[in-house]
Amino acid sequence: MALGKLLAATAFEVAPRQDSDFEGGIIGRLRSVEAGLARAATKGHLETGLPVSLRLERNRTCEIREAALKAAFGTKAELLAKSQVLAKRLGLAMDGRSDVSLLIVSVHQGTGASRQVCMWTFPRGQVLLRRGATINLGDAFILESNLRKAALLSGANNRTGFLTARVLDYQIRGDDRRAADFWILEFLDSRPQMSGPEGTSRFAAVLRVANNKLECSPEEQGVLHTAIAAIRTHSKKRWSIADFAAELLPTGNARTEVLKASKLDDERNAVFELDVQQFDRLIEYRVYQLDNGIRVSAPFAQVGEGVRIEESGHRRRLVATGLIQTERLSRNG
Amino acid sequence: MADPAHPHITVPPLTADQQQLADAFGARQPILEALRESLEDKARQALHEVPHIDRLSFRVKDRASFARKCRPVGKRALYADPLAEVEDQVAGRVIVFFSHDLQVVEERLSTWFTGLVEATKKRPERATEFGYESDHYILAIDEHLKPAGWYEAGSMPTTFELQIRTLFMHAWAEPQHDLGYKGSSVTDEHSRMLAWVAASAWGADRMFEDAWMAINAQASP
Repeated sequence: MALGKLLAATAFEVAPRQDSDFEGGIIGRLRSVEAGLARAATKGHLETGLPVSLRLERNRTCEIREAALKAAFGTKAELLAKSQVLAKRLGLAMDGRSDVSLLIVSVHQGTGASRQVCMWTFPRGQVLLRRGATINLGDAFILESNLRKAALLSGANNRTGFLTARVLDYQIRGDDRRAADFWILEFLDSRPQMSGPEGTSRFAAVLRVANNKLECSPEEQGVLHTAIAAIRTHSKKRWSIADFAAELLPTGNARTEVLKASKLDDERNAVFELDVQQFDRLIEYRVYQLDNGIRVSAPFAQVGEGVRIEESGHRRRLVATGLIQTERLSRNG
Repeated sequence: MADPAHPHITVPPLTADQQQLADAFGARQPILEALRESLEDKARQALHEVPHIDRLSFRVKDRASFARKCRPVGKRALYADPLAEVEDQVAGRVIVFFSHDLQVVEERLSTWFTGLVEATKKRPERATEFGYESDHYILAIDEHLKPAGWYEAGSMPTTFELQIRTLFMHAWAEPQHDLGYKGSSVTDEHSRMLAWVAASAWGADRMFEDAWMAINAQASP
């Protein structure tokens, strides 16, 4: 859902660990920021951002949901008060390495009785201009700034609205765990909707489908298997199916089949924590058919260990080593 | 007119208002069915290899029952936008063997379904009463499970319901629900009979649990 008409907005400067006396207020000239926010949302693909679910306590409350509901459906004074609550939350979630940020809370008209609330962080710059009771942002500010993070909540003013959010966070896939967790886990007190176990399971299922589709194309299957082997030992732990395709399968049919096997955008783009042990259990075996009729089935974890592939020109030779534990006769091989 | 869920019970036909809502609900039924399938598939994967699961199923609410719930005759309508607000339009149920399995299933599901909205352990209000028991959960519908056409369908739910029960909780709840349709024809004596069944079901669960613990304690060195 695209951002609706801007109804109100606040802006506050927030420094790491700051918990009071925030500089900022209600934005007076909405028109000066509306186009910039819309553009930032489009550029960052906010409407298809990572879906997260808020961690709710009894009676469906949490600070973020309560603040968003009051901002969306309350008075200007409530929007101001709740924006300061959010500013404090952000200050406490930021660590000493973060720069001072500008937190913007914007309220938009949704469809029917629904509203949208968006929380944005931008680099500060010298942008806050006080005009009596309200503040203005320098006109070009948003157009020139790089959006750092955003979260869009929406719904009606009832029990089922504002339970989830769409999030933009360029650091979530990074190796720096603290930076990766700060926006979603600490500030928003949320969890990605695609959990590690589910994501790993869906990912393995998608790879199985893609692998079967590539059955008649051993070379492309080989490309897929190389990418699977690479992700198992990759330093990055958070992936999406789309990330896997983009980073480890830059071109070719293997990439196409992986993306085709995951039909919905939200599934393809959902970031999850890859559980390598679970992944190995689900993917389990790589099967090689040799030119002399021998068929080798090897657990993925053994490829490169007990099962070695030696390359010579265009030919690949397989060497398997291990102690025989059982032996049986089979009609079909 | 017979209720499809309870064919021996005759229910009055839908009013025009109810019919209109039932039709609106019915228009989105294929999308809700696709969601039901995805939710059930996800729950099955989550509970794979978890022992003591008797059954797991999801259903889409019957359209007439939805309309009657939202537009009760002679009463104030409960929802401003029922197509978005009613939380059991798609609902699932997991039936387990033993009382301790309730927590095992809850913990496993919570690692897969991250959007817990509400958890209610439904038990009789007073310690001296026996009656309906079931663990009810409201969960956010994950975006990646929303089928094609979801965002174009207008008002859609944001949540679904999940119930976890033991076999004996279920054994009491389902027939009781069916009998509950009789409404005013249920006398105090009938209520007392049902309370006895509820107490027996509670006792059976307790005995099963104690037996399970005792047998397992004996089996461990």
